[in-house]
Amino acid sequence: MIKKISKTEVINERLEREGKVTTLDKKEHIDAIIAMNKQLEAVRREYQIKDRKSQITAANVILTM
Amino acid sequence: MLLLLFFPSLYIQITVLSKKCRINPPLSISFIPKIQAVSISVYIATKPDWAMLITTLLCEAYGLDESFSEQIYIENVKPHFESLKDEICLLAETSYVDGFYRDSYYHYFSSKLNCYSRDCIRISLFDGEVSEEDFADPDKYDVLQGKYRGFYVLRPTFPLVIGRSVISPEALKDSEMRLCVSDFNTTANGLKLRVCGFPHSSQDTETITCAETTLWAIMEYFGNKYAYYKPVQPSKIIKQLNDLSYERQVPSRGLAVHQISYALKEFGFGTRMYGKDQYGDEFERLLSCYVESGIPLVIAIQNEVAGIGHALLAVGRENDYSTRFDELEPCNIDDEKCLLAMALNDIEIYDYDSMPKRFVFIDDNHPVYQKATLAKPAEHYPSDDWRKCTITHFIAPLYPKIYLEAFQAKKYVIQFLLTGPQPIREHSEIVLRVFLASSRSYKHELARNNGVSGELKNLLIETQMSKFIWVAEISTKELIKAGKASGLMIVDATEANVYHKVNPLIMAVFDGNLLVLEKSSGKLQKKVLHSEPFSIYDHNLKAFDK
Repeated sequence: MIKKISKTEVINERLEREGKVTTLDKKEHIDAIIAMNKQLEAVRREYQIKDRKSQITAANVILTM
Repeated sequence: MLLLLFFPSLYIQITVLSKKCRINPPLSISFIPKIQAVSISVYIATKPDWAMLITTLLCEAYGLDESFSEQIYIENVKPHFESLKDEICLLAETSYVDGFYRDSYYHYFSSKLNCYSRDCIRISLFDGEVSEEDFADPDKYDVLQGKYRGFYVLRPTFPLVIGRSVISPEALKDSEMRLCVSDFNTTANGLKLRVCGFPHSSQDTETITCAETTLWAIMEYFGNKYAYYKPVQPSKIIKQLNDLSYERQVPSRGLAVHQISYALKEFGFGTRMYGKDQYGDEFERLLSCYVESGIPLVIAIQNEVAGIGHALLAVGRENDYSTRFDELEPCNIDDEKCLLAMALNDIEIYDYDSMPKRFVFIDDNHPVYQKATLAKPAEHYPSDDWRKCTITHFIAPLYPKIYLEAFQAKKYVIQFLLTGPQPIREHSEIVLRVFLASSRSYKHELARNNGVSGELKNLLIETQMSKFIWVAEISTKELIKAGKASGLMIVDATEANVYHKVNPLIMAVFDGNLLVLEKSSGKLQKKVLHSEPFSIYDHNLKAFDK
């Protein structure tokens, strides 16, 4: 006999039945995600600059001792 | 013999083992071109005889005079032994073939006019006395394994004789630390034994300086721990850097930081470099985040004025600083929108990585497992010039498919919690602990952890995850003191595109909600899910107690 032991589907179905599931797709949610993405794009640019500068300075530190 | 007059107890020990012990012929006749079987001499010595054992071995195995042997012992071996527990018993074997030294020997030392021995001496460490009979008795094998604490290799590169070693922190007087460690299989007096530690060696200054030693130690660690990597010998390191060099590489004059990163990349890592000047305040927190992730880091320290540049490894940290969490300062956040959200919603964020603590370093100029702060990484050096060294860069040898590195991962977590579609509750004071983990190890520990309650545990274990994940545990100052967290975010470490939708998020649990991406629509769903505080994940580093 085969017995399915994973519980995720059962938990999800129960939460759905009990009205405990909400999709975050309202305008305020989408706007928040767009704003967050813009900020994170700035983070990515900041990282790329820091990373490239780290590489440049790393060439000037000689480890000999 | 003169030495034995001063140390009669060692004479007794050697006499007891006389059937086994045979000293090599003097060096002056060791190169007679005649094939002869060389027997291995084996000695046992407890603490009062450690000095005598080493000086006798150096004299007899390598033909050194007594005063030079004593000088080598005092200056180069004794500092290592001083960190060991008094109960440690040494077992020494001559004629040891050490692959690490042999590689340097065949590629460099053998081409010199001066004659260098090919063989090394291996010193094995046991916690408590061991005897000749213990090794002969099959029933004592488990006892010997239980007492085994690692080994040092003494190589004939005088005076810097400490070669490849793996020492268990349990052999030390101060073993209170959490470390990246791997199991190493070795032998002692014919018996196969296993030790858990991090590889260490002193530099010989010709084939290996600090830079090559750190490369070797990193590869030795990863090569022993994961099948994906292979340990490398000095000649391979030199060969790998050939394309990046305009001059001969031996005798070594050290390496630049970017050369170390290049070599690690060639050895299979997805390396990232971080410079102190570029990352500013963030730098030490990033370093701490990687150490907390169980990734040994190459650390470059420098005192430019004194002309000192040195490489060492950060492999862990002090064990317990839970009593000091009240000292934790709020996290400096420079993003305007995040600051606004924090002010409007009365949210305070503390970064676990800001906690002042001592890290554990592997330094080839010093005994294994040195503890120091990031502000003074060379505080254990006697000279002022050295003590003024500061960290300039660190290199993180990441698994090549970890595309999302720490800087962006931490920023993503903070942005999501403060400005995301479901921000964290108002009037919160949270301690964020962000680290990398393999999803396999993370799920394994979750499955065993009684702290995580039923439904959340099932959901976490049954969620599809990337091989490596960023985990952000959300806690409070009070909860973290008890080693607990009340929420978490799991972020895909293979997703570098953090600026599209909520791309890297795998799941988040905080404030009684579970946030997941609905597979078919790609939309974020909020599910009301009660969860109790759970134990934080602390299996990236192995804990050793006093």
